[in-house]
Amino acid sequence: MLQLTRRRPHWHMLVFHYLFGFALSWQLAEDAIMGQGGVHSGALFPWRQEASWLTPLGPNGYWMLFGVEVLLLGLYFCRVQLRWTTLLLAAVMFVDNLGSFLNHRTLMILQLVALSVYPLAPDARATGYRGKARYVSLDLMRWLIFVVYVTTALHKCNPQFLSGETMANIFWMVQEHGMHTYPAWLQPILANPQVCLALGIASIVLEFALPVGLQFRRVAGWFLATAMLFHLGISLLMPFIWIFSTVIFATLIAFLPDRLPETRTFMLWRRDAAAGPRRWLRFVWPGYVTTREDASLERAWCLEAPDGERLTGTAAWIELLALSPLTMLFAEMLRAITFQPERSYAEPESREHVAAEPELSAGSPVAIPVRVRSS
Amino acid sequence: MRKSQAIFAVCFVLFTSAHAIVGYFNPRIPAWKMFKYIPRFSYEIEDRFGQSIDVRDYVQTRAYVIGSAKTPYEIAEWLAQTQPERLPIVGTIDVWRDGEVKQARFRFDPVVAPESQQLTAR
Repeated sequence: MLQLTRRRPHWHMLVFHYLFGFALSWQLAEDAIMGQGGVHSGALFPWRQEASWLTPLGPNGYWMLFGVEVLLLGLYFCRVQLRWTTLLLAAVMFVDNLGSFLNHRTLMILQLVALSVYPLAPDARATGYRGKARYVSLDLMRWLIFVVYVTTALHKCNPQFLSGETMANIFWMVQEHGMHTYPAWLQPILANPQVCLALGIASIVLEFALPVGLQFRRVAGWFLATAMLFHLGISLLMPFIWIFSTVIFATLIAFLPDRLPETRTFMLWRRDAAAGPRRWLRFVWPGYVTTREDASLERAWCLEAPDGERLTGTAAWIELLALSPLTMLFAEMLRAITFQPERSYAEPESREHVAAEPELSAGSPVAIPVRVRSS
Repeated sequence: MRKSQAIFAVCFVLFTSAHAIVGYFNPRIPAWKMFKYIPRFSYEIEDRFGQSIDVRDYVQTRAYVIGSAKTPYEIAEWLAQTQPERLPIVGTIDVWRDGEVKQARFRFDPVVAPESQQLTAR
């Protein structure tokens, strides 16, 4: 992977660009399929009601936004006028987000703004490794991820989360409210307070460690793999936040090395195979890329680039880790598109039925004091 | 990098920092509070016809509804406003906390304005 990036200086921006675009498209498609239009039109519960000022646009107000977003996404994928396309897309998504205020959509909006600072030029050529500070957009992504992780971890430092109760509640609520059904073998594990406590503490530790560890090139390989596994695990346990994980997967690309090409040791990568770890260690050494000669060893996890270069060891594993979630993401997207909710929207009874009911009494008590009972 | 881009980048860093700091203290600003607090609750709501009301029937499919125990009350309030023929709507919300279950009950009546009603859970 490192050699690929070295040969293709715009690899980071390209992969980030398209993976991030994929996440944006997924969010847009899921919104449309899952009924975001109903929220804007008032047919469904107006979430937090911040979008009420869109109501004058009528039931088709959302679809106007949708159309504009599709158009801008098309321009985004074609890399046409990226500076203005990303800024406009951020603005339209901001308006769209007023109906839900989703965290990951807020993150997407900020990332789009960051992308507008130094977007990839449509005629970018592979002329060499990145210079001193070329793609400031990637630097801003790193900064953004740092802020998100640290702030999230700080928020989690509260008695409920530190006791593991929050994690237990998440798993209980997800099942109780029909958002997801865990396999039978997993349910008792997730109901175990000790497991929930361990998961809660691990989340906080990782969210403090990842933004720091990712900044150090010598260990960034470990932290990249850890971050991907972390978000993969989160999404497997909470399948309704796959899009957030996709955004993070895309953004983690910004932490791959993209400067100082002639540095001898680079993310634990050694150009000289002889100076590298023992052969058996190469399977687990993060970021280890063999030389062309050494890569002649045929291995199942040996990835071959179009120009004949091969990656083995953990570098290949990282690449596979990047590809596997993508495969799952595509499968999940297909599942989301074909997903048919079991319930239909409950319609009120007919007016005739209401008229047949006895007269309702007025002045009924509207609030009853809280009653407490032991569990 | 041009000077304008450098200024833009610095502004971006300052803005995101301010957003995170202000959002840390202001609960209404969406600022990376992912899973900060999750209540454990169940609810039962019925309309005048005895029809059970499921929150998930009135929000987007797969919407995130586990973050606030007040959501069922808000849904009932919204139904009271938009579908008055279903009044009265009566409901209870059981919230588990510290080994106890606290139950809040509410009722939306066809005469009393919904805006004047308050959830009584503590």
